[in-house]
Amino acid sequence: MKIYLTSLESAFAKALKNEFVSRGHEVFAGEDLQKLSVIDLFVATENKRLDGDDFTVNDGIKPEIVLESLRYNMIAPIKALEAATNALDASEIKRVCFLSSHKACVTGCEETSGYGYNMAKAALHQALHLTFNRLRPEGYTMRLYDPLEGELPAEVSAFTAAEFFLRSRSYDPDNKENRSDEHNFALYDAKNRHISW
Amino acid sequence: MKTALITGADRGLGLALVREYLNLGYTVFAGRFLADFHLLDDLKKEWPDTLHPVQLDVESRASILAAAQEVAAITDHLDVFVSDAAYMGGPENSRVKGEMPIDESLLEKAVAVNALGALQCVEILLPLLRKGEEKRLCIVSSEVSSVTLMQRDGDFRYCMSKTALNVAVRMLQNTLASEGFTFRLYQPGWMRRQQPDGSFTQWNDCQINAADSAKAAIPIFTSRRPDDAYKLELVDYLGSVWPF
Ligand SMILES: NC(=O)c1ccc[n+]([C@@H]2O[C@H](COP(=O)([O-])OP(=O)(O)OC[C@H]3O[C@@H](n4cnc5c(N)ncnc54)[C@H](OP(=O)(O)O)[C@@H]3O)[C@@H](O)[C@H]2O)c1
Repeated sequence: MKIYLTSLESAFAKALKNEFVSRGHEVFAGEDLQKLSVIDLFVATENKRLDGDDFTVNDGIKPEIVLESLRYNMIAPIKALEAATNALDASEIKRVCFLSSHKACVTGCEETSGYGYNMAKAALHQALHLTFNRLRPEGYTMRLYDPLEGELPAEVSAFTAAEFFLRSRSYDPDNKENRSDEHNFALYDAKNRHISW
Repeated sequence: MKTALITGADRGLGLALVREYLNLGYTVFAGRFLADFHLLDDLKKEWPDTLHPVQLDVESRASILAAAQEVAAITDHLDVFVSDAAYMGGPENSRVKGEMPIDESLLEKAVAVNALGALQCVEILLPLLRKGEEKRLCIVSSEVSSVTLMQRDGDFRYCMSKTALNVAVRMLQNTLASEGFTFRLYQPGWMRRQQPDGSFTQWNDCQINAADSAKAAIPIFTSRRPDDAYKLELVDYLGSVWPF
C-alpha cells in the first residue's frame, strides 16, 4: 500500500512510519506529496498541544494561541487532505486518517486548560464529519484516532493505530451497503474505546 | 438591580432577547456591532432608563475591554451574560473538493467570532459576573454544532465554529461551576434574518421567528435545576435536548 503521512514531527508519527514500513508498506511523508500520483492511505499526524496552551479562564484567554492551535491541529490537516484528494481519488482504497483526543469532546472533556487544542480538535471533528458525508459516497473511508499520547508508549499506540487504520470495519460482503461500520463516523482511542462527542 | 449583557443585539434573536430581559425588569447592556441598524435606538426610546446599547465587537479584545469598562461605569455587577453574536456569512468555500479552495483565513474568523468571542467576553466580564447574584451564562449555539447529528456534506466553517464553542463552554463550566456559575447552551431553531428596517427575509425553511425563539429561551435561561452544577446540555427552542 502507498501510505502518506503529512509530517513525521512527533514520536508517534515516527513510530507509525516504522510500523507501516515493518509491515511492508511504502511510506511517504511531508514534501513527497507533489510526487505522488496515488495515495491509498492518508494520515494527518498533526496532533499537539502547543507551548503556551496551558491557561485557564482565570489566567486569561490567549486568542493568538487558540488560533495558532487551530492552524496547526485543524486547518493544516484539512488543507493537507484537500491537496491529497487527487492522489486519493486514483486509489482503490481511499482511506483517510486523523488524530484527535477525547479531551476535545464536549461529553468527556474534564479539562480546565488546553483551550487551543480542544477547540481546534472539536472544530476538526465537525469539519471531518461533513467531509466524511461528502466523500463516503465516492468510496472513501475514514479513521479518527486518539493515540492517548502521554499515556501509552508511542510504539504501542502506533501499533494499535496501524491496526485501526489498515483493517476494514465489519465488512459484510453479502450486504456491503448496510452492514458495515465504515458508514459510521466515529472516534476510537488506542484502547479501542469508542468516544462519544 | 438585575443586570444582563447580550452580544449581537442589533437585530434578530439578540434584539428579541434584549426585549425579553427588559420586560423581566433587567437593566440590559446590548452589544451593538452594525452601523446601519437602528432598531436598538428605537427600543431605547421605549426603555430610556434600563437599556444601554454598548459598542461591542466580540472578535476584538480591545472592544470587549472597552465595553466592560462602559458597563462598570454604570453597574458593579452583571447577573446574566448572553452570547448571541455570530458570523454566519462569507462565501461558500469551506468544503473538501468544493468549487473553490478552502479559505483558511475565514475558518479562523469563524472560530475567532463564534467561539473565541463568547469565551473572551466571559473571561473579561468575570469580575462583574462574580459580583452578580445569578451567575448565569447563556450561550447561543446551534443545531449544527452537534457532531452526532451532522448530516450535511457541504460547507463546514460555521458548523465547526459552533462545535468549538460547545467544548469551550464545557471547559468554562469545568472551572467556574464550583463558584456557582451555571450554563445554558441554546439551539434557537432556524430563524429568518432581520433587515435594517426591522422586517424579516423570506425563508421557507424557517422554523420559528426570532421573537418566539427568544420567548422560548427565557424559561430555559432563567430556570434553576438541582443538576446545574454537573450537567451541560444543548437545548432547543422546543425544550428538547440535542446530543453533542
Ligand atoms: N438564524 C438561524 O437560523 C440560526 C440557527 C441556529 C443558531 N443560530 C444562532 O443564533 C444566534 C442569532 O442568530 P440570528 O439569526 O439572530 O443572527 P443575526 O441576525 O445575524 O444576529 C447575529 C448578530 O451578530 C453580529 N455579529 C457578527 N460578528 C460580530 C462580532 N464580531 N461582534 C458582535 N456582533 C457580531 C451579526 O452581524 P453581521 O450580520 O454583520 O455578521 C448579527 O447582527 C447566532 O448565534 C446564530 O449562530 C441562528
